[in-house]
Amino acid sequence: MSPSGTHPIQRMRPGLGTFVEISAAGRPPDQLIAAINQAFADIARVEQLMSFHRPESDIGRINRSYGAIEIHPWTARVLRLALRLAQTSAHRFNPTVGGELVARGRLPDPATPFIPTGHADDIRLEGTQLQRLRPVLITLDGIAKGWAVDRAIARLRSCGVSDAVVNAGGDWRCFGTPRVIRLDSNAGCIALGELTNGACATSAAGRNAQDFPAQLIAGSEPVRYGQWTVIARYAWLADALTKVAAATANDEAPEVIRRLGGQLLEPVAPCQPILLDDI
Amino acid sequence: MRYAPFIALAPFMVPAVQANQYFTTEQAQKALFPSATQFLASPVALSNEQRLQIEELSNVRQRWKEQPVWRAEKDGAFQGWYIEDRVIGKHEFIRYAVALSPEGRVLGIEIMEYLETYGDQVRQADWRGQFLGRTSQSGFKLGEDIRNISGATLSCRNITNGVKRLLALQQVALTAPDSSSKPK
Repeated sequence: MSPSGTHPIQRMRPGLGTFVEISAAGRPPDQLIAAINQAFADIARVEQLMSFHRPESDIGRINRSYGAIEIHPWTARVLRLALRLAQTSAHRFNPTVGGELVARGRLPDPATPFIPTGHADDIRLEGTQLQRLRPVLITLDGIAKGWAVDRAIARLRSCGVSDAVVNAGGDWRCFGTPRVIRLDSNAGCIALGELTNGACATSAAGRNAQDFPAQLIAGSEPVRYGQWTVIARYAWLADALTKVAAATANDEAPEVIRRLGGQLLEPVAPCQPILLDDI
Repeated sequence: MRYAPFIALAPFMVPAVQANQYFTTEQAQKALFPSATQFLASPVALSNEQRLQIEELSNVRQRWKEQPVWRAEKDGAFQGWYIEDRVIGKHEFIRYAVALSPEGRVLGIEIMEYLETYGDQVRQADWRGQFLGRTSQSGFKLGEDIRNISGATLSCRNITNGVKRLLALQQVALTAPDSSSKPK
């Protein structure tokens, strides 16, 4: 039961390349369902705009563009956050590594000339006008999913929901009731603590071939193996900071993440060396 | 944002299996076809030949012969197909429902049941006891905690393939009632 006395409504749909689960409480059921449907629609919109896999998305158009093009305000917003984080994290988070991901077969080939990686300076973004100064391929992997979660949360709040969780395959954000942070580890599922009005994301690198390529998002930093869980106020930030953590030396990572606005949750046991059992 | 680590008790293990039921058949039907007034069960029994055709069209194997299908109608007018399906991933078992328009467009997808089986399912009995004691102390309810398992391994590719398969099934084995019983 939620504090307001209404039962939460919970829905799950495929989206953002994973399963998105929304749970909401604090309004009559029909209003909750309407709010959840709107939140799912926002998430679908983010996916349409920012998926590398869709040639007609803003990202697809950007990666084929030669001159300045007009992009959706949402895409501009996420790109601005991504570029700023690239600068503040010394490019440990880098949205211009699409070329490298394509070269490694992680992302589909856009059939246009490209360079493997670049820098935030390679993108000029003024308002909703964007121009690539070098043929980098932009990918918002590692930030757009979190931002979609933030959109959904904002939508639920604006619909009067008082208690909600939006969880996109392990990147989640909640408000209202405190939620328990659970992690998968080699030893099983572990509960770390309770989070109130915040976001949490986990990324793994190198554990198996299907895992999210955190090391690639971070560009050419040394590849490390492990799993990083970050909490932050916003899901986009938590999501992106896991990539920063993956690309930062163990002893520096907590401080680096803290400076960038997140908190790295220490692994319970030291990260195990790779287990290739899942391949 | 407020974070309260479980310090005193140290991080504790919780069951790796989570089952979530989102919809019963009736609820999913209503969610996917809100204006429909009735759902006519019309399960499809597929011949081997049809199953091969489906596989050819979709590149996905149709593993079973029978597919649960309902016809959604509003006051006698055909609205589309409601199909239930299941996919089995590496770590999850999913039951879901798809709404297809008479023309074969996907109108909506809802996950009905999601069962996640992460890691080693078999746990020691004493371990379970430990868990139960600690949950009551920390005051959280089992159903309310969050699945926070490294996101990337949960791929919805299985569902995407499942829907592709159902679209092929519609082409092969479903005919809209209006055009179905033309003589000759």
